[in-house]
Amino acid sequence: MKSGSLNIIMWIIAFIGLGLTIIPSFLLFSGGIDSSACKTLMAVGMVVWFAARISVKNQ
Amino acid sequence: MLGKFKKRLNTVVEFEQVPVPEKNQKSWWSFLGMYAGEHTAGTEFVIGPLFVAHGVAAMDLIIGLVVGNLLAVLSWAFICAPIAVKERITLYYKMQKICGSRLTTIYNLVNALMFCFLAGSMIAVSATAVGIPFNLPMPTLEDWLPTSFMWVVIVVVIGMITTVIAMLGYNQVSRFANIAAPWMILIFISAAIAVLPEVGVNSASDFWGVAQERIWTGIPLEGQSKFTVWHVIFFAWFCNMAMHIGMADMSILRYARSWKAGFTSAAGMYVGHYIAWLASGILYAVFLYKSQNSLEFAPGPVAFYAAGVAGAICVMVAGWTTANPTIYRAGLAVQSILPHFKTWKITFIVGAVTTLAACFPALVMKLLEFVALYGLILMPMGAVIFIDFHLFPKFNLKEDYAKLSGIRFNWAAGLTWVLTLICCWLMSKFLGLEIFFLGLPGWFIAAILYVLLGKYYQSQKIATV
Repeated sequence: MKSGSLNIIMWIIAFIGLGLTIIPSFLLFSGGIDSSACKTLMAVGMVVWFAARISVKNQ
Repeated sequence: MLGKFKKRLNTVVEFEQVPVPEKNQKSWWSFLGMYAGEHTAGTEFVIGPLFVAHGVAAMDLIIGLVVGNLLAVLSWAFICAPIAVKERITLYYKMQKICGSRLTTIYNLVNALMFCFLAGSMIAVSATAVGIPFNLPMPTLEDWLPTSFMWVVIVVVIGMITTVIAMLGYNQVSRFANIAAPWMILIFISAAIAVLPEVGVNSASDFWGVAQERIWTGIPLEGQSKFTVWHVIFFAWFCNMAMHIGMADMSILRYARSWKAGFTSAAGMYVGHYIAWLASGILYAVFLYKSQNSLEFAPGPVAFYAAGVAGAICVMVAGWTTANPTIYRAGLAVQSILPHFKTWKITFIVGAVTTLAACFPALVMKLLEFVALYGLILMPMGAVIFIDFHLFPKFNLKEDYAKLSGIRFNWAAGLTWVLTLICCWLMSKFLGLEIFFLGLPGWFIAAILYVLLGKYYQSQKIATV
């Protein structure tokens, strides 16, 4: 896979990480999930964001 | 590793003493990202909660932050940026031209000391997050001295790690900080939204009522002074006084193609100093509500409660990414005084001073006052540069007098600095003006003093010659 395409994929994954950081709080606020699930999703979002974002830069 | 780092540093050209050439100038977009990142930092986890502790009312905060941040943006755009793009040299070189090398050295020393204290407060903030798994007893708003042996151990370990990284890998930290910035602001927002139901906000329409009754109640915590809308306006305006009115950001904005890049500071003000302050205030208010107004003040556990591991790591990262470049900058300021010492040795000493300072929770508990003092102390030199640039030619006085006359200590500038600070102290002591309000009259005092002293000094010098 070309470096440019991989970069785009990494950016998409990174933004999914950001989504996992912010969306769970709205779900918690609206009663869709509980606090523990919200915190877990935010932690996953953090790992995804940093892993993908650092990979983008490294290419 | 050290050799590789040194080699890389040697290849960096920063145009410290020559104007930045056109090809190296940057668009406003670069400054937008930089300001947004720089002003979403560890300090935001402390300032928002301290507003709550000082009993700021909801409407006062909303209005105060709009006005204060706007004044800060205008200060960047109309005071700092025009001189920065006209001169295109660093603050330190501009000061050498006006004030002479010896006075600049004193300024650098004071600046470095302030940087150490600022970095120290951020290490303490990180320590509140690192201490969670160790059940560390957290400091309270009334604590000034180290609260336990474990606190000191954690602070020293974080301080040592931060110092070693500042010695070896500043570029990597800077890169990591840029990567972390968008995530950090989302953690602020996300954590605040997540805890809103716990104070009774179950829909958007509930927010304002709860904000007034349970978040920004207008009632200060026990032992804290009451903050009004004026405190919020002046704090928001002057918390970065050293950067805009004090002209420190000349060193950054000299890369801008146009002075209008100064307006990009709005990104930092309205993301970091608005949204993040509101969000961290909400987090702290929930903690107070749940703990029935406990005086414990620790951003780490508060963020952990709201956002779990991500929240605690956000506090740690925010504190660390603020402390690290601050130690590095302090090292550079000291190195300009001791140019023959190796950078890493100086950074090590600066890191040790910072770590010692971080052991004292007073730096966190009194962060609002410290930030105001930091800006106030450096402000008179910003006024000197402004007057020298804009008014001296109109009064037939020589600009950049130290460079022109070859002096190493411009007494007009030096006396302006000292006398302004004495006047500010007198205003505080005899008129009862709080530190947050001294910057504005202080600037005009510095401006008038520098015109009068400059006129006298230059006439005396010319007569002597």
